[in-house]
Amino acid sequence: MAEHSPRRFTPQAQEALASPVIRQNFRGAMDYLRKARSNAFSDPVEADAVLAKAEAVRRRCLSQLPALLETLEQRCTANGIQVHWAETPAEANAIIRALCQREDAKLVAKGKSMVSEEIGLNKHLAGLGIDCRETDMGEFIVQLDGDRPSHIIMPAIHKNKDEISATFEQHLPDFEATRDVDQLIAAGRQALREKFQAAEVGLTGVNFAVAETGTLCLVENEGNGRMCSTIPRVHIAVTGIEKVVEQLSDIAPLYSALTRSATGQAITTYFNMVSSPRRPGEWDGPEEVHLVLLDNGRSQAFADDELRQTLQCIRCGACMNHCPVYGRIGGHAYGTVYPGPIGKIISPHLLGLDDAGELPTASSLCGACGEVCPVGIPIPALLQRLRVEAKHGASAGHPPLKGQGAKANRLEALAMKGFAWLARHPRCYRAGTWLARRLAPFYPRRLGAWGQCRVTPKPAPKPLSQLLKEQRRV
Amino acid sequence: MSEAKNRILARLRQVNPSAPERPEQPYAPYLGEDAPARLARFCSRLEAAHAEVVRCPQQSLAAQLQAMVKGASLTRLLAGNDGPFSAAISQAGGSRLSCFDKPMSEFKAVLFTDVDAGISQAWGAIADTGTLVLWTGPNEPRSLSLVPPVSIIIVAASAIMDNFAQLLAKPQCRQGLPTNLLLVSGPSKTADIQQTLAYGAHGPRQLYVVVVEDC
Repeated sequence: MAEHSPRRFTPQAQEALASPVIRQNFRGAMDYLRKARSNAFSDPVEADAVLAKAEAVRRRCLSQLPALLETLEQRCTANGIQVHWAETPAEANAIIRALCQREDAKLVAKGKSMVSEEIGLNKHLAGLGIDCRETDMGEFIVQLDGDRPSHIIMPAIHKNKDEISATFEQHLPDFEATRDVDQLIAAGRQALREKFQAAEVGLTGVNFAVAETGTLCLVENEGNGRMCSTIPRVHIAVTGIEKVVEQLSDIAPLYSALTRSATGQAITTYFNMVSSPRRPGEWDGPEEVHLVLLDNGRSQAFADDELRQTLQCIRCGACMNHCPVYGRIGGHAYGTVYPGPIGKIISPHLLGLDDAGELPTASSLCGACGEVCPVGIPIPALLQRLRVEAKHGASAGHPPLKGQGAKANRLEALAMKGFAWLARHPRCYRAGTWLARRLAPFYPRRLGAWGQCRVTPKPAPKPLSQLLKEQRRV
Repeated sequence: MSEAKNRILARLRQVNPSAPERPEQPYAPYLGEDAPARLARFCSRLEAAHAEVVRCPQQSLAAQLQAMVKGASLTRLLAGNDGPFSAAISQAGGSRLSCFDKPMSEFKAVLFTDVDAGISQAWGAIADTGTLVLWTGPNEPRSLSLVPPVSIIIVAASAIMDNFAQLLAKPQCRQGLPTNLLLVSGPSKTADIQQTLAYGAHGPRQLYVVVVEDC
């Protein structure tokens, strides 16, 4: 399977659009998730209140980020959780690798973690002979295929049950093809129970890290996150530095906003609050708990008042589920770990505006993503901001973003300058429009890429200014 | 102190974000009118999440458990060392019951292959979402409600709170959380295959909840 890249967004999107299976699988999933969300927020007054609170909590916590991170580290350390800091994916991988090697681990059981995808952990550990096994059902299926998740909440959303049955037939011993979802899940359960018992290390993400108490919160339905954080001797949690919240009371509104926005559930089956490794007298739970805090471009977003809002994200995926672009091309076409609208505003900080390719422009700016975001991230405004940053140098007083001005084009800049001059000189402008009308018959029939989905424009016989003048006379 | 930490914090400290201007509204989730309303909501929410809920007075708890065990043909039961309902659990379980009293490393194989059902005693419950609160520890191992295919959880009706925020505001939570505080709101489930709900993904396929009404 070819690696997708944000630099090849257009051909990847075209390929996805041409696949009836992808179109159908996503259509079904998007309809389901949108309906579920809308049912979960059926009372608009209550919905507004909880979402406003969730947004306010995220804003407040981000405004105190460095202090909260230090408190989190102090409280975690006091509880016996060992805290590690990583600036880059390579540093995070090195920390996790060292912990695994010290355990002489051959198998790591991994709960769902987008940050582990971000750092490419599975591949890194595989290179050292350590099998990092995904245990979330969707992630498990995707990993068997050598594929990548196409949605941050439902990783195997791009596949239907027939395709999953075929995957299991190929990889699981004694599996017989079936269209029965219960049987498919039972097969996955069986295969993974062995892994939970054998794994020396369990790895998970973190949904909220509470500074007040040094507590790591995990949200899930399946129980695999609990398995990974309970059965192996060592539990490693990996998360971005933005996930910290100030106090315990902050998690109630965030949790409610998260599950309802993500899958329309009032609550998930499990909410797992880890505050320390196994204590004396306890029979189970990991003997060591480690927390890896990753920056990887987040501090760049933090530095700017507007772009900081990117970090309010609680990873619910609602923006994807409501995006007309994502719903048609699916998650793989973006070529980034975080697809869809939120991916378009996070990836430029992770990868740079240059490597993020066309992502900030891959939007119709319809505004649906901003409307459904439970924590009020103005995604369309941030996309427009990133478009400006990609075209221009950094403005005074702002440190340049990674890949600043990567899309600057001298010809385009010159044309815009010319137009600006023309627009401020009415006589020349009128002469220009007069000439444009006279030259209409000679316009080329094809206008390159721009004309692919558009009809070549025809100038009106009379300019607007003349029409207005005539109307005034009547 | 690690270099990475210093550099990350230094970058964050260069910025001085202003505190949000708008005052934060208080969070106001579900409040039950009275105890019966709370109990009714708790039970209906849990049932909607595919759990089987029964209510009984304390004196018939053992009989209730016995009937449950018999009905589901559970032969090997596991429970924690001690708790408010331990006497009833022992009485109901008899010779089928064993106690979780070995470290995970020695107990893993038994736990994963031999046990039919784990019996847990909840510390509290939440009416709003139909949620059980497990305060894990030496007498309440966290894997009891996770690894066996059936999970039985007993909870006192008086321990039902209105909402999650009330739980988090309890002094016990703020002053000393357990190793692992767990919220359980149904049997393990997934919709990862074509949005079709299936139970028993990794944890229990079935969740039985017994609400002890008079304590």
